[in-house]
Amino acid sequence: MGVIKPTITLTANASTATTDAGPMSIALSLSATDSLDVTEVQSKILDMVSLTHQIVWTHTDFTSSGAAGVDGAFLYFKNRLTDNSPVDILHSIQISTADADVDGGGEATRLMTLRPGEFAWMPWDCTQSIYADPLDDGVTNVGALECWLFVRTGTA
Amino acid sequence: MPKITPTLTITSKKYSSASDAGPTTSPIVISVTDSLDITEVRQKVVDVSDDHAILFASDTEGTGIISYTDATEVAGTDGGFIYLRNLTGEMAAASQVDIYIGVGTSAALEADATAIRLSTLKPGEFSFFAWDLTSDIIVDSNAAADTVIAGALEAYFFVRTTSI
Repeated sequence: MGVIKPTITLTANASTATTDAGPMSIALSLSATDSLDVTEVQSKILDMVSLTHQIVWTHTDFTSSGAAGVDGAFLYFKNRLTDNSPVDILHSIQISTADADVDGGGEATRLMTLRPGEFAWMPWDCTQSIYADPLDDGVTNVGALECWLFVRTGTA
Repeated sequence: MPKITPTLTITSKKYSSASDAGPTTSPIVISVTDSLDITEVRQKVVDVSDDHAILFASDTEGTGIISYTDATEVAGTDGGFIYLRNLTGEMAAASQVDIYIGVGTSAALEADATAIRLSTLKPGEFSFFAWDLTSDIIVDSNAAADTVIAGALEAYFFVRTTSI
């Protein structure tokens, strides 16, 4: 078993700031850190092919029981595409729990959309597989999605 | 438009370190930051129990004063960012619980292999992820029956949509 240490900070200036004004009248400064025991690390960088969704992590690769608080992992995603134009939305990457195209409005299995430069960090209980689906911009975005998985389960 | 700046770092030592040895032969250092346009901030610290509840509703939030989108949520436009932290890590041992986060129709989350259980936040653990408002966010815990753990979960919702 090994130890990883994630730390997150969320900051915003007060709304009266002259640069990068925040969304509230007060400044925001959140910080959290933790020390996590993990048993395995996997990492990959995926191309995002327009009109093609793909599996990122298969839940049965890591557990067959899906016991809460025992089985699972921590996921890190980053959309590696860069902000470059008003059409950045066309380079967004969607993370879902369905083996399906989830571009449409209100797709219930689409958990999140990561626009260029955005990232996510969350535990994952391995009760469903994780898929990625790019918005249909008609191109292949090479090396678009960075994915890390830190297993905490002892059953992997 | 107002901005927030999230920063995440993930570090580990190499596995041969004498203390806090990492899981790999090389140290890991991942660092990322971003600047996000936000239109609204919602924050709450919620109690948890052995009963499930909706933490953030996809169509309405709070008392329904604010209506988010209605099955038309556009990817990359509608939605926001959720920050969650299990605060029971700072409480007495008897109050420390695992908090379950689900996505979908509100239901109990604790049973093995419950498909809608996305995450388990053990005491002190946190998450930060985008949310497209297409399904409700559900909370549940492994608190003992008829036991309420007050102030157990910190939750922020930073709205990026302009459609509310």
